[in-house]
Amino acid sequence: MNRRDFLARSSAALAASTAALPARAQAGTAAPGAASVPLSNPAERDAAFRARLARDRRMLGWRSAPTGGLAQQPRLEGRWPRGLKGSFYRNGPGLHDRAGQRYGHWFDGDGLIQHWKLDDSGAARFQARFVGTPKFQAEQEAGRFLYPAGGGGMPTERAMSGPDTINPANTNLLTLADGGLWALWEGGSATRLDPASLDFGGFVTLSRELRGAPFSAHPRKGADGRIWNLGSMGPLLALYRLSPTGVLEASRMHTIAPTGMVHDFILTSRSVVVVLPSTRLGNGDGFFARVRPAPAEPIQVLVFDRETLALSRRAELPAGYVFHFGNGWEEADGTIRFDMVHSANTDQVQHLRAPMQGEMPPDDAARSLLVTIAPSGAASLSRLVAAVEFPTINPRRTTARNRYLYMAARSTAGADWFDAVAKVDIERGGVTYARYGRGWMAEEHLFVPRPGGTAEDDGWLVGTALHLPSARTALTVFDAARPVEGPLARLWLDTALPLAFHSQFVPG
Amino acid sequence: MTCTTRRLTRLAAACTLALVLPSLTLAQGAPADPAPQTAAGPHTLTVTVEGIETADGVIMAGLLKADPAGGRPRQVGGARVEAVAGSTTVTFTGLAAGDYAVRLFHDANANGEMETNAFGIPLEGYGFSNRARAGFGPPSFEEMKVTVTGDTATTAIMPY
Ligand SMILES: [Fe+2]
Repeated sequence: MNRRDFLARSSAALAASTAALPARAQAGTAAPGAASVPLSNPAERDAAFRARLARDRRMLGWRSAPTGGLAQQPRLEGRWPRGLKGSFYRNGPGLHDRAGQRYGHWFDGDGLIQHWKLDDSGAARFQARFVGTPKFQAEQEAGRFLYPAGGGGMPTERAMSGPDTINPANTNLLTLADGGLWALWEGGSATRLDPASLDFGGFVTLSRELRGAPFSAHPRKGADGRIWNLGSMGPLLALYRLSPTGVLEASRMHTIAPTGMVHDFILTSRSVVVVLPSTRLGNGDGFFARVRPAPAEPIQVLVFDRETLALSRRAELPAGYVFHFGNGWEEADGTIRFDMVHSANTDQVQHLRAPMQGEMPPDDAARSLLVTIAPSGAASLSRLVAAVEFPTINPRRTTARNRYLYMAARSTAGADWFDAVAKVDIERGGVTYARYGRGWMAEEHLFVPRPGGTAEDDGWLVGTALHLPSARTALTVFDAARPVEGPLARLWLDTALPLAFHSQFVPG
Repeated sequence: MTCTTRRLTRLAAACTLALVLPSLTLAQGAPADPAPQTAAGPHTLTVTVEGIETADGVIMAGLLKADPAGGRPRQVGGARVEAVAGSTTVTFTGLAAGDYAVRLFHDANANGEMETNAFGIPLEGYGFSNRARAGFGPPSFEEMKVTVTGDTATTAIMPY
């Protein structure tokens, strides 16, 4: 099938199935920026979700996957690009309910690892498996949830001895220079996985003093392959530096304002830049309820020397909430620049409860900003693009100045989920979109460099999306140099997967 | 490694997920006031400790008593027994009638302290009377409570 056929067929399928989509008027449960009161009872949450799922396909994004996982031969549509081969891994919460009890926050479900094994010929293989953490295994055996969770309302049938008791390994992955693969959460240890079978290989202990310590889900690699990460809990922040194979080389503890979550950070050629959102830990049932909005507090930026891990500079930014950064770099005079997805709403963490009770998360109007921190600590902002999340770049540019930034985007007015991938030209300004069109819920897309390519945008945008009319998940490839031309190829599963968070690609 | 955590560990005890058991280290306290045997005491509280991972080191136990005036429970005694893989018992004698609770940890390297990681998260097994379970923090006194009106038994499960 050539590309024109592919596009024609896709739009015909869409036209035929538009009737299956929920009307926006019917779908909207909350005004933008507002959210309804979270249900504290796990059975009530489950009932509310199931009632909604019966009439709103968007809820497929938060339906639990089968606990035994999935293995499929995806069906190819379009023409597979030569040279695009390797393992595309994804991680995200895939099990939100057991035995009629549903978690209270999107971040609670057990990690479901997707492994899309991509071949030059387009003959891909797909496998999805839950990470066999001690928590998953115990609950699988019991047939019900046994442990408390961040979203609150769950019984404590079995004791926690520390965060790893409930570690769901559900947020991201880390690939190591020796072929190793770790699944990441942020409240506890990293988890070793077998890269082929995805078998659980135990929690990673960085050192005796750091056994069971929080290890965040967004480690970053320097140009030399070394790995930096942070871990935070209340007023404590740990900075870690690891070898390319994941051996701890240095760590240092700092005290910070207790914001609750420190999700991501920026690595430059000299610095680790930690951004503390405008939240403060308060009281509440479960961890996430304790992450309270603090709109009067500015965002704090802490700059650390990446070799000594000592604090070197501080800055402040306008109040808001921040999950993710694409890239950052440092200029000769010490000026640091980075992009961040910023929302003026400081209750984003609360808003991500909504799908657990059958509601779409309200639009928090997150936008991408370019931040400049002068050597003096003076900060300035410029706006890159509105309505985005999950920023990624060409991995060959990491810690160096990047021209292009790619993000999941709401490209049409009134879109209630990402329907495109935005390509932002930071140097010249301007945004172009690789569009999915109506009926899709798009997720994070990675930039995969074309083997032998040298231009920064010579490669592919690869990511998953949920197709609502057919209730199936697909992996789509766009030409990153020409995103407006639409998809090059698509691999279809025969079922819908729950929406996930982050991906990693290993060529080969 | 350039870790400077000793002081910070204390801070962590006050926060978020920290499952810290304050003052469990002073497990060698004297028994409560001896008194003639009446309905009010003295009585014996026997704690069966289950789920002990290894026979290394000792099990340290701290006895808490409710404040009848409604203040914070006070540590009124301590005990220390050799660890036994599986199960063992810890006994408090000479107790007046009243509401008590017991906190225990497995001091596997017998250094007298419950070891924690750099974030104050326990690295040794620990448990509570009345089979109370830690969630995002230690159980409340109410959850650990054992009412002593005669010789009394309770069970603690030690997760690691
Ligand atoms: Fe993330």
